[in-house]
Amino acid sequence: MKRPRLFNLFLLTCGTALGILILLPVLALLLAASPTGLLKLFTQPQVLQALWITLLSSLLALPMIFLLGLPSAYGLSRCSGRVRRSLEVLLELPMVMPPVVAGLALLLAFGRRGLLGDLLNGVGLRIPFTLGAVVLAIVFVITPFFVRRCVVLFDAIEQKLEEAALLLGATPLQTFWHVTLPVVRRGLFAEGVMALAQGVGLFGVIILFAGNLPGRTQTLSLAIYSAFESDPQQAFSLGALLLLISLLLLATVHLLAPPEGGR
Amino acid sequence: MCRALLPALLILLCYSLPATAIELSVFAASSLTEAMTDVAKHYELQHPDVQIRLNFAGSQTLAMQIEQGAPAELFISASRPVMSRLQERDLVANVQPLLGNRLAVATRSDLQPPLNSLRDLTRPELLLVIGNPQVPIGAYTRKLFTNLTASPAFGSALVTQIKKNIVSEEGRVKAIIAKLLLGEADVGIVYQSDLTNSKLLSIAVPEKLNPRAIYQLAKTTETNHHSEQFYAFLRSSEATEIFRRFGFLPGSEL
Repeated sequence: MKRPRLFNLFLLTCGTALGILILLPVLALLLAASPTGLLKLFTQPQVLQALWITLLSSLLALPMIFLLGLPSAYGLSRCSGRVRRSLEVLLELPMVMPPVVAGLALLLAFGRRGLLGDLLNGVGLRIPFTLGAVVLAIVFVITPFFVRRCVVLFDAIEQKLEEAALLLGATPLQTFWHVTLPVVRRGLFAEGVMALAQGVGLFGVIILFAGNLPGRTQTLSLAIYSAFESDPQQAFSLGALLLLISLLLLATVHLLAPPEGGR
Repeated sequence: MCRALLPALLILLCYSLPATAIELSVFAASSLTEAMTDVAKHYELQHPDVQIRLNFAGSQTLAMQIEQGAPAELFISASRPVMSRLQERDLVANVQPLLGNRLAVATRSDLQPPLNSLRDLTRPELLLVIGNPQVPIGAYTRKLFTNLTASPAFGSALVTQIKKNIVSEEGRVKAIIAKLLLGEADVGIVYQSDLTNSKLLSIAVPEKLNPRAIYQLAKTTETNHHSEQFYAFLRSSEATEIFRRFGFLPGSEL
Protein backbone atom coordinates (compact mmCIF):
# COMPACT_ATOMS: atom_id res chain seq x y z
CA MET A 1 0.00 0.00 0.00
CA LYS A 2 3.00 2.31 -0.05
CA ARG A 3 2.44 5.14 -2.47
CA PRO A 4 5.41 6.38 -4.50
CA ARG A 5 6.91 9.51 -3.03
CA LEU A 6 6.39 11.60 -6.14
CA PHE A 7 2.68 10.82 -6.11
CA ASN A 8 2.41 11.77 -2.47
CA LEU A 9 4.10 15.05 -3.24
CA PHE A 10 1.59 15.65 -6.03
CA LEU A 11 -1.33 15.04 -3.67
CA LEU A 12 0.18 17.37 -1.11
CA THR A 13 0.71 20.15 -3.68
CA CYS A 14 -2.85 19.96 -4.95
CA GLY A 15 -4.24 19.88 -1.42
CA THR A 16 -2.19 22.90 -0.41
CA ALA A 17 -3.22 24.82 -3.51
CA LEU A 18 -6.88 24.13 -2.78
CA GLY A 19 -6.42 25.14 0.85
CA ILE A 20 -4.90 28.44 -0.20
CA LEU A 21 -7.64 29.00 -2.77
CA ILE A 22 -10.27 28.62 -0.03
CA LEU A 23 -8.51 30.49 2.74
CA LEU A 24 -7.01 33.41 0.81
CA PRO A 25 -10.29 35.15 -0.16
CA VAL A 26 -11.73 34.52 3.32
CA LEU A 27 -8.63 36.05 4.87
CA ALA A 28 -8.68 38.97 2.43
CA LEU A 29 -12.28 39.77 3.34
CA LEU A 30 -11.60 39.63 7.06
CA LEU A 31 -8.52 41.84 6.61
CA ALA A 32 -10.45 44.37 4.51
CA ALA A 33 -12.99 44.80 7.30
CA SER A 34 -11.43 46.42 10.32
CA PRO A 35 -12.73 45.42 13.78
CA THR A 36 -13.86 49.00 14.39
CA GLY A 37 -15.71 48.94 11.08
CA LEU A 38 -17.42 45.74 12.17
CA LEU A 39 -18.44 47.22 15.51
CA LYS A 40 -19.69 50.39 13.83
CA LEU A 41 -22.14 48.25 11.83
CA PHE A 42 -24.12 47.56 14.98
CA THR A 43 -24.85 51.26 15.44
CA GLN A 44 -26.53 51.56 12.04
CA PRO A 45 -30.29 50.93 12.04
CA GLN A 46 -30.21 49.73 8.41
CA VAL A 47 -27.71 47.01 9.28
CA LEU A 48 -29.61 45.94 12.39
CA GLN A 49 -32.78 45.75 10.30
CA ALA A 50 -31.07 43.57 7.68
CA LEU A 51 -29.60 41.35 10.40
CA TRP A 52 -33.03 41.01 11.98
CA ILE A 53 -34.70 40.14 8.66
CA THR A 54 -31.97 37.60 7.93
CA LEU A 55 -32.33 35.81 11.25
CA LEU A 56 -36.11 36.08 11.35
CA SER A 57 -36.61 34.65 7.87
CA SER A 58 -34.18 31.78 8.48
CA LEU A 59 -35.79 30.95 11.82
CA LEU A 60 -39.29 31.06 10.30
CA ALA A 61 -38.18 28.83 7.45
CA LEU A 62 -36.69 26.22 9.77
CA PRO A 63 -39.95 24.69 11.10
CA MET A 64 -41.28 24.46 7.55
CA ILE A 65 -38.09 22.78 6.38
CA PHE A 66 -38.39 20.22 9.20
CA LEU A 67 -42.12 19.72 8.69
CA LEU A 68 -41.77 19.06 4.97
CA GLY A 69 -38.30 17.60 4.95
CA LEU A 70 -38.15 15.21 7.86
CA PRO A 71 -41.06 12.89 6.94
CA SER A 72 -40.02 13.05 3.28
CA ALA A 73 -36.48 12.06 4.16
CA TYR A 74 -37.67 9.18 6.36
CA GLY A 75 -40.02 7.96 3.65
CA LEU A 76 -37.32 8.24 1.02
CA SER A 77 -34.87 6.30 3.12
CA ARG A 78 -37.44 3.48 3.32
CA CYS A 79 -37.84 3.44 -0.48
CA SER A 80 -35.55 1.56 -2.80
CA GLY A 81 -34.92 0.85 -6.44
CA ARG A 82 -36.34 2.95 -9.24
CA VAL A 83 -38.82 4.87 -7.06
CA ARG A 84 -36.04 6.08 -4.84
CA ARG A 85 -33.82 7.06 -7.72
CA SER A 86 -36.50 9.12 -9.45
CA LEU A 87 -37.41 10.85 -6.19
CA GLU A 88 -33.75 11.67 -5.65
CA VAL A 89 -33.56 13.24 -9.10
CA LEU A 90 -36.60 15.36 -8.21
CA LEU A 91 -34.77 16.53 -5.09
CA GLU A 92 -31.68 17.43 -7.10
CA LEU A 93 -33.68 19.69 -9.40
CA PRO A 94 -33.79 22.75 -7.09
CA MET A 95 -30.22 22.02 -6.06
CA VAL A 96 -28.80 22.48 -9.55
CA MET A 97 -31.13 25.36 -10.48
CA PRO A 98 -29.22 28.64 -10.77
CA PRO A 99 -30.51 30.98 -8.03
CA VAL A 100 -31.82 33.54 -10.51
CA VAL A 101 -33.73 30.83 -12.37
CA ALA A 102 -35.15 29.63 -9.06
CA GLY A 103 -36.34 33.17 -8.33
CA LEU A 104 -38.00 33.45 -11.72
CA ALA A 105 -39.60 30.03 -11.33
CA LEU A 106 -41.01 31.01 -7.94
CA LEU A 107 -42.43 34.23 -9.42
CA LEU A 108 -44.05 32.25 -12.23
CA ALA A 109 -45.59 29.88 -9.70
CA PHE A 110 -46.59 32.15 -6.83
CA GLY A 111 -46.47 35.61 -8.45
CA ARG A 112 -49.52 37.67 -9.24
CA ARG A 113 -49.66 36.35 -12.79
CA GLY A 114 -48.24 32.99 -11.81
CA LEU A 115 -49.88 29.58 -11.91
CA LEU A 116 -51.33 30.01 -8.44
CA GLY A 117 -51.77 33.77 -8.86
CA ASP A 118 -55.55 33.81 -9.18
CA LEU A 119 -55.99 31.34 -6.36
CA LEU A 120 -53.78 33.37 -3.99
CA ASN A 121 -55.47 36.59 -5.10
CA GLY A 122 -58.83 35.03 -4.32
CA VAL A 123 -57.90 34.51 -0.69
CA GLY A 124 -56.26 37.94 -0.55
CA LEU A 125 -52.67 36.70 -0.36
CA ARG A 126 -49.80 38.48 -2.06
CA ILE A 127 -46.49 36.70 -1.70
CA PRO A 128 -43.86 38.59 -3.76
CA PHE A 129 -42.25 41.55 -1.95
CA THR A 130 -43.12 40.18 1.50
CA LEU A 131 -41.22 38.44 4.27
CA GLY A 132 -43.28 35.38 3.32
CA ALA A 133 -41.53 35.39 -0.05
CA VAL A 134 -38.12 35.39 1.66
CA VAL A 135 -39.19 32.43 3.81
CA LEU A 136 -40.71 30.55 0.87
CA ALA A 137 -37.54 31.09 -1.18
CA ILE A 138 -35.40 29.70 1.65
CA VAL A 139 -37.68 26.67 2.08
CA PHE A 140 -37.66 26.03 -1.68
CA VAL A 141 -33.89 26.14 -2.05
CA ILE A 142 -32.76 24.62 1.25
CA THR A 143 -35.22 21.77 1.89
CA PRO A 144 -33.82 19.49 -0.84
CA PHE A 145 -30.32 19.79 0.64
CA PHE A 146 -31.77 19.10 4.09
CA VAL A 147 -33.66 16.02 2.88
CA ARG A 148 -30.62 14.65 1.06
CA ARG A 149 -28.52 14.81 4.22
CA CYS A 150 -31.29 13.46 6.47
CA VAL A 151 -31.75 10.45 4.18
CA VAL A 152 -28.10 9.63 4.84
CA LEU A 153 -28.79 9.83 8.59
CA PHE A 154 -31.83 7.55 8.36
CA ASP A 155 -30.05 5.12 6.03
CA ALA A 156 -27.36 4.62 8.65
CA ILE A 157 -29.81 3.36 11.27
CA GLU A 158 -29.74 -0.39 11.79
CA GLN A 159 -33.00 -1.85 10.55
CA LYS A 160 -32.91 -4.37 13.43
CA LEU A 161 -33.65 -1.63 15.96
CA GLU A 162 -36.89 -0.66 14.24
CA GLU A 163 -37.83 -4.27 13.55
CA ALA A 164 -37.43 -5.10 17.21
CA ALA A 165 -39.70 -2.21 18.20
CA LEU A 166 -42.34 -3.29 15.69
CA LEU A 167 -42.14 -6.91 16.89
CA LEU A 168 -42.67 -5.72 20.44
CA GLY A 169 -45.95 -4.21 19.32
CA ALA A 170 -45.12 -0.56 18.70
CA THR A 171 -46.97 1.17 15.87
CA PRO A 172 -44.82 2.57 13.01
CA LEU A 173 -45.43 6.10 14.33
CA GLN A 174 -44.35 5.10 17.84
CA THR A 175 -41.28 3.40 16.41
CA PHE A 176 -40.36 6.52 14.43
CA TRP A 177 -40.93 8.80 17.43
CA HIS A 178 -39.39 6.73 20.23
CA VAL A 179 -36.73 4.70 18.42
CA THR A 180 -35.66 6.25 15.15
CA LEU A 181 -35.70 9.95 16.06
CA PRO A 182 -33.69 9.63 19.29
CA VAL A 183 -30.96 7.76 17.41
CA VAL A 184 -30.48 10.56 14.87
CA ARG A 185 -31.26 13.42 17.27
CA ARG A 186 -27.80 14.96 17.28
CA GLY A 187 -27.44 14.61 13.54
CA LEU A 188 -30.82 16.25 12.95
CA PHE A 189 -29.92 19.14 15.18
CA ALA A 190 -26.71 19.66 13.21
CA GLU A 191 -28.66 19.52 9.93
CA GLY A 192 -31.04 22.15 11.27
CA VAL A 193 -28.16 24.50 12.02
CA MET A 194 -26.69 23.72 8.60
CA ALA A 195 -30.02 24.68 6.99
CA LEU A 196 -29.91 27.97 8.92
CA ALA A 197 -26.37 28.63 7.72
CA GLN A 198 -27.33 27.97 4.11
CA GLY A 199 -30.49 30.08 4.32
CA VAL A 200 -28.64 33.07 5.72
CA GLY A 201 -26.53 33.38 2.57
CA LEU A 202 -29.17 33.20 -0.16
CA PHE A 203 -29.19 36.10 -2.58
CA GLY A 204 -30.27 35.66 -6.20
CA VAL A 205 -33.52 33.91 -5.50
CA ILE A 206 -34.52 36.43 -2.84
CA ILE A 207 -33.77 39.58 -4.80
CA LEU A 208 -35.93 38.28 -7.66
CA PHE A 209 -38.80 36.80 -5.71
CA ALA A 210 -38.97 39.00 -2.63
CA GLY A 211 -37.42 42.23 -3.87
CA ASN A 212 -35.15 44.45 -1.83
CA LEU A 213 -36.74 46.75 0.74
CA PRO A 214 -34.86 47.69 3.90
CA GLY A 215 -36.81 46.60 6.97
CA ARG A 216 -39.10 44.26 5.06
CA THR A 217 -37.26 41.93 2.69
CA GLN A 218 -33.66 43.17 2.72
CA THR A 219 -31.47 40.45 4.20
CA LEU A 220 -27.76 40.89 4.89
CA SER A 221 -26.73 39.54 1.49
CA LEU A 222 -29.03 42.02 -0.23
CA ALA A 223 -27.69 44.82 1.98
CA ILE A 224 -24.16 43.92 0.86
CA TYR A 225 -25.21 44.21 -2.76
CA SER A 226 -26.83 47.62 -2.17
CA ALA A 227 -23.91 48.90 -0.12
CA PHE A 228 -21.42 47.86 -2.77
CA GLU A 229 -22.93 50.41 -5.17
CA SER A 230 -21.97 53.38 -3.04
CA ASP A 231 -19.70 52.35 -0.22
CA PRO A 232 -17.45 49.35 -0.91
CA GLN A 233 -15.91 49.61 2.57
CA GLN A 234 -19.35 49.12 4.11
CA ALA A 235 -19.87 46.13 1.80
CA PHE A 236 -16.60 44.59 3.03
CA SER A 237 -17.64 45.01 6.67
CA LEU A 238 -21.08 43.55 6.00
CA GLY A 239 -19.47 40.69 4.09
CA ALA A 240 -17.18 39.94 7.00
CA LEU A 241 -20.15 40.02 9.37
CA LEU A 242 -22.08 37.54 7.24
CA LEU A 243 -18.98 35.36 6.98
CA LEU A 244 -18.55 35.37 10.77
CA ILE A 245 -22.19 34.37 11.24
CA SER A 246 -21.74 31.51 8.79
CA LEU A 247 -18.51 30.41 10.48
CA LEU A 248 -20.25 30.44 13.84
CA LEU A 249 -23.09 28.29 12.52
CA LEU A 250 -20.63 25.95 10.81
CA ALA A 251 -18.70 25.52 14.03
CA THR A 252 -21.96 24.69 15.81
CA VAL A 253 -22.74 22.06 13.18
CA HIS A 254 -19.43 20.36 13.78
CA LEU A 255 -19.73 20.52 17.53
CA LEU A 256 -23.15 18.88 17.31
CA ALA A 257 -22.59 16.45 14.47
CA PRO A 258 -21.72 12.95 15.53
CA PRO A 259 -18.15 12.05 14.58
CA GLU A 260 -17.60 10.35 11.20
CA GLY A 261 -21.00 11.56 9.96
CA GLY A 262 -22.65 8.30 11.07
CA ARG A 263 -24.65 7.75 14.21
CA MET B 1 2.47 11.42 -23.11
CA CYS B 2 2.66 13.02 -26.56
CA ARG B 3 -0.97 12.25 -27.21
CA ALA B 4 -1.98 14.04 -24.04
CA LEU B 5 0.08 17.11 -24.82
CA LEU B 6 -1.11 17.57 -28.38
CA PRO B 7 -4.58 18.98 -27.60
CA ALA B 8 -3.06 21.28 -25.02
CA LEU B 9 -0.59 22.58 -27.58
CA LEU B 10 -3.38 23.12 -30.08
CA ILE B 11 -5.38 25.10 -27.56
CA LEU B 12 -2.33 27.22 -26.76
CA LEU B 13 -1.82 27.83 -30.45
CA CYS B 14 -5.40 29.01 -30.89
CA TYR B 15 -5.01 31.50 -28.09
CA SER B 16 -1.75 32.88 -29.40
CA LEU B 17 -3.01 33.48 -32.93
CA PRO B 18 -3.17 37.21 -33.63
CA ALA B 19 -6.68 38.61 -33.39
CA THR B 20 -7.96 39.74 -36.76
CA ALA B 21 -9.86 42.77 -35.45
CA ILE B 22 -8.82 45.48 -33.07
CA GLU B 23 -10.86 45.24 -29.89
CA LEU B 24 -12.14 48.30 -28.10
CA SER B 25 -13.48 47.80 -24.63
CA VAL B 26 -16.23 50.22 -23.59
CA PHE B 27 -17.82 50.23 -20.12
CA ALA B 28 -21.28 51.81 -20.00
CA ALA B 29 -24.06 52.32 -17.45
CA SER B 30 -26.70 49.63 -17.79
CA SER B 31 -29.46 52.09 -18.77
CA LEU B 32 -27.52 52.56 -22.02
CA THR B 33 -27.72 48.88 -22.98
CA GLU B 34 -29.96 49.11 -26.05
CA ALA B 35 -28.73 52.48 -27.30
CA MET B 36 -25.02 51.71 -26.99
CA THR B 37 -25.45 48.31 -28.61
CA ASP B 38 -27.00 50.05 -31.59
CA VAL B 39 -24.33 52.76 -31.71
CA ALA B 40 -21.58 50.14 -31.58
CA LYS B 41 -23.21 48.17 -34.39
CA HIS B 42 -23.26 51.29 -36.58
CA TYR B 43 -19.64 52.02 -35.84
CA GLU B 44 -18.53 48.47 -36.58
CA LEU B 45 -20.27 48.59 -39.96
CA GLN B 46 -18.23 51.66 -40.86
CA HIS B 47 -15.01 50.28 -39.37
CA PRO B 48 -14.87 46.55 -40.11
CA ASP B 49 -11.42 46.30 -38.53
CA VAL B 50 -12.70 47.39 -35.12
CA GLN B 51 -14.69 45.26 -32.73
CA ILE B 52 -16.36 46.95 -29.78
CA ARG B 53 -16.69 44.97 -26.60
CA LEU B 54 -19.45 46.46 -24.43
CA ASN B 55 -19.64 45.86 -20.72
CA PHE B 56 -22.89 47.02 -19.10
CA ALA B 57 -23.41 47.22 -15.34
CA GLY B 58 -24.21 49.75 -12.64
CA SER B 59 -21.88 52.75 -12.91
CA GLN B 60 -20.43 52.05 -9.49
CA THR B 61 -19.68 48.42 -10.33
CA LEU B 62 -17.94 49.48 -13.54
CA ALA B 63 -15.90 52.10 -11.67
CA MET B 64 -14.83 49.43 -9.18
CA GLN B 65 -13.75 47.20 -12.05
CA ILE B 66 -11.72 50.04 -13.59
CA GLU B 67 -10.10 50.72 -10.22
CA GLN B 68 -9.18 47.05 -9.97
CA GLY B 69 -7.49 47.26 -13.36
CA ALA B 70 -10.15 45.98 -15.73
CA PRO B 71 -9.23 46.88 -19.30
CA ALA B 72 -11.54 49.64 -20.47
CA GLU B 73 -10.75 52.29 -23.05
CA LEU B 74 -13.90 54.37 -22.64
CA PHE B 75 -16.30 54.74 -19.74
CA ILE B 76 -19.82 56.20 -19.74
CA SER B 77 -21.14 56.80 -16.24
CA ALA B 78 -24.66 57.67 -15.18
CA SER B 79 -23.34 58.99 -11.89
CA ARG B 80 -21.27 62.12 -11.55
CA PRO B 81 -19.82 61.31 -8.10
CA VAL B 82 -18.53 58.01 -9.43
CA MET B 83 -16.86 59.70 -12.39
CA SER B 84 -15.31 62.39 -10.16
CA ARG B 85 -13.86 59.68 -7.95
CA LEU B 86 -12.09 58.08 -10.92
CA GLN B 87 -10.96 61.51 -12.07
CA GLU B 88 -9.41 62.27 -8.70
CA ARG B 89 -7.43 59.06 -8.91
CA ASP B 90 -6.23 59.94 -12.42
CA LEU B 91 -7.86 56.85 -13.88
CA VAL B 92 -9.90 58.78 -16.44
CA ALA B 93 -9.39 61.92 -18.52
CA ASN B 94 -11.33 64.12 -20.97
CA VAL B 95 -14.58 63.87 -19.01
CA GLN B 96 -17.42 65.34 -21.08
CA PRO B 97 -21.19 65.36 -20.63
CA LEU B 98 -22.50 63.04 -23.34
CA LEU B 99 -26.22 62.57 -22.81
CA GLY B 100 -29.11 63.56 -20.66
CA ASN B 101 -32.07 61.62 -19.43
CA ARG B 102 -35.29 62.34 -17.57
CA LEU B 103 -37.23 60.34 -15.08
CA ALA B 104 -40.47 58.69 -16.07
CA VAL B 105 -43.19 57.04 -14.03
CA ALA B 106 -43.96 53.78 -15.78
CA THR B 107 -46.98 51.58 -15.11
CA ARG B 108 -47.86 48.14 -16.39
CA SER B 109 -50.32 48.46 -19.24
CA ASP B 110 -53.10 46.33 -17.71
CA LEU B 111 -53.33 48.23 -14.42
CA GLN B 112 -56.97 48.87 -13.54
CA PRO B 113 -57.99 51.61 -13.08
CA PRO B 114 -55.08 53.26 -14.93
CA LEU B 115 -53.06 56.00 -13.27
CA ASN B 116 -53.61 59.47 -14.64
CA SER B 117 -51.30 61.71 -12.69
CA LEU B 118 -48.54 61.65 -10.09
CA ARG B 119 -51.23 62.13 -7.47
CA ASP B 120 -52.54 58.64 -8.22
CA LEU B 121 -49.27 57.21 -6.90
CA THR B 122 -50.80 57.59 -3.44
CA ARG B 123 -53.51 55.02 -4.22
CA PRO B 124 -53.46 52.46 -1.39
CA GLU B 125 -52.18 48.96 -2.17
CA LEU B 126 -50.31 50.17 -5.25
CA LEU B 127 -47.03 48.25 -5.67
CA LEU B 128 -44.29 50.81 -6.38
CA VAL B 129 -40.73 49.77 -7.24
CA ILE B 130 -37.86 52.29 -7.33
CA GLY B 131 -34.06 52.21 -7.43
CA ASN B 132 -32.09 51.92 -4.21
CA PRO B 133 -30.48 55.18 -3.06
CA GLN B 134 -26.99 53.95 -3.87
CA VAL B 135 -27.53 53.70 -7.64
CA PRO B 136 -28.05 56.72 -9.92
CA ILE B 137 -31.72 56.00 -10.73
CA GLY B 138 -32.48 55.71 -7.02
CA ALA B 139 -30.61 58.91 -6.23
CA TYR B 140 -32.52 60.80 -8.95
CA THR B 141 -35.79 59.34 -7.67
CA ARG B 142 -35.06 60.78 -4.20
CA LYS B 143 -34.38 64.10 -5.88
CA LEU B 144 -37.79 63.89 -7.53
CA PHE B 145 -39.36 63.19 -4.12
CA THR B 146 -37.55 66.23 -2.70
CA ASN B 147 -38.82 68.37 -5.58
CA LEU B 148 -42.37 67.10 -5.07
CA THR B 149 -42.18 67.84 -1.36
CA ALA B 150 -41.05 71.40 -2.03
CA SER B 151 -43.70 71.98 -4.70
CA PRO B 152 -46.91 73.63 -3.42
CA ALA B 153 -48.94 71.50 -5.83
CA PHE B 154 -47.87 68.26 -4.13
CA GLY B 155 -46.33 68.68 -0.68
CA SER B 156 -44.82 66.41 1.92
CA ALA B 157 -48.01 64.60 2.99
CA LEU B 158 -48.45 63.33 -0.55
CA VAL B 159 -44.82 62.19 -0.80
CA THR B 160 -45.13 60.31 2.50
CA GLN B 161 -48.18 58.53 1.08
CA ILE B 162 -46.28 57.64 -2.10
CA LYS B 163 -43.32 56.30 -0.12
CA LYS B 164 -45.64 53.96 1.76
CA ASN B 165 -46.34 52.15 -1.51
CA ILE B 166 -42.69 51.26 -2.15
CA VAL B 167 -42.34 47.48 -2.07
CA SER B 168 -38.82 47.07 -3.41
CA GLU B 169 -35.64 49.04 -4.10
CA GLU B 170 -33.74 47.56 -7.00
CA GLY B 171 -30.04 47.84 -7.78
CA ARG B 172 -30.51 48.24 -11.54
CA VAL B 173 -33.08 50.15 -13.56
CA LYS B 174 -33.54 47.10 -15.79
CA ALA B 175 -34.70 45.11 -12.75
CA ILE B 176 -37.47 47.67 -12.15
CA ILE B 177 -38.60 47.30 -15.77
CA ALA B 178 -38.51 43.51 -15.48
CA LYS B 179 -40.76 43.52 -12.41
CA LEU B 180 -43.26 45.74 -14.28
CA LEU B 181 -43.19 43.56 -17.38
CA LEU B 182 -43.70 40.47 -15.22
CA GLY B 183 -46.75 42.17 -13.74
CA GLU B 184 -45.48 41.77 -10.18
CA ALA B 185 -45.18 45.52 -9.66
CA ASP B 186 -47.75 48.12 -10.68
CA VAL B 187 -45.62 51.18 -11.12
CA GLY B 188 -41.93 52.04 -11.21
CA ILE B 189 -39.78 55.13 -11.46
CA VAL B 190 -37.33 54.69 -14.32
CA TYR B 191 -35.59 56.73 -17.04
CA GLN B 192 -37.50 58.10 -19.99
CA SER B 193 -35.13 56.15 -22.24
CA ASP B 194 -36.42 52.92 -20.72
CA LEU B 195 -39.90 53.53 -22.09
CA THR B 196 -39.21 53.58 -25.81
CA ASN B 197 -39.91 50.23 -27.33
CA SER B 198 -41.47 48.69 -24.27
CA LYS B 199 -44.97 47.63 -23.34
CA LEU B 200 -45.38 50.05 -20.47
CA LEU B 201 -47.49 53.16 -20.04
CA SER B 202 -46.20 56.33 -18.48
CA ILE B 203 -47.48 59.24 -16.44
CA ALA B 204 -46.26 62.74 -17.14
CA VAL B 205 -43.86 64.27 -14.61
CA PRO B 206 -43.99 68.09 -14.61
CA GLU B 207 -40.90 69.32 -16.48
CA LYS B 208 -39.87 71.68 -13.67
CA LEU B 209 -39.85 68.97 -11.02
CA ASN B 210 -38.18 66.30 -13.15
CA PRO B 211 -34.49 65.92 -12.29
CA ARG B 212 -32.12 65.72 -15.23
CA ALA B 213 -29.79 62.76 -15.27
CA ILE B 214 -26.45 63.39 -16.94
CA TYR B 215 -24.22 60.75 -18.48
CA GLN B 216 -20.54 61.54 -18.70
CA LEU B 217 -18.11 60.10 -21.18
CA ALA B 218 -14.41 59.69 -20.37
CA LYS B 219 -11.29 58.12 -21.77
CA THR B 220 -9.26 55.99 -19.46
CA THR B 221 -5.59 56.81 -19.31
CA GLU B 222 -4.61 54.01 -21.67
CA THR B 223 -6.05 55.14 -24.96
CA ASN B 224 -4.97 54.75 -28.55
CA HIS B 225 -5.86 56.02 -31.96
CA HIS B 226 -8.90 53.73 -32.23
CA SER B 227 -10.44 54.69 -28.92
CA GLU B 228 -9.93 58.38 -29.79
CA GLN B 229 -11.88 57.78 -32.97
CA PHE B 230 -14.76 56.06 -31.19
CA TYR B 231 -14.77 58.80 -28.54
CA ALA B 232 -15.27 61.34 -31.34
CA PHE B 233 -17.95 59.17 -32.96
CA LEU B 234 -19.96 59.01 -29.74
CA ARG B 235 -20.17 62.80 -29.80
CA SER B 236 -20.95 63.03 -33.52
CA SER B 237 -24.38 63.95 -34.85
CA GLU B 238 -24.80 60.41 -36.17
CA ALA B 239 -24.49 58.84 -32.71
CA THR B 240 -26.56 61.62 -31.18
CA GLU B 241 -29.39 60.79 -33.57
CA ILE B 242 -29.35 57.15 -32.41
CA PHE B 243 -29.31 58.16 -28.74
CA ARG B 244 -32.21 60.51 -29.38
CA ARG B 245 -34.17 57.66 -30.94
CA PHE B 246 -33.72 55.70 -27.71
CA GLY B 247 -35.17 58.55 -25.67
CA PHE B 248 -32.00 60.32 -24.51
CA LEU B 249 -31.42 64.04 -24.62
CA PRO B 250 -28.36 65.01 -26.68
CA GLY B 251 -25.38 66.50 -24.85
CA SER B 252 -25.67 69.81 -26.70
CA GLU B 253 -29.03 70.47 -25.03
CA LEU B 254 -27.72 69.96 -21.50
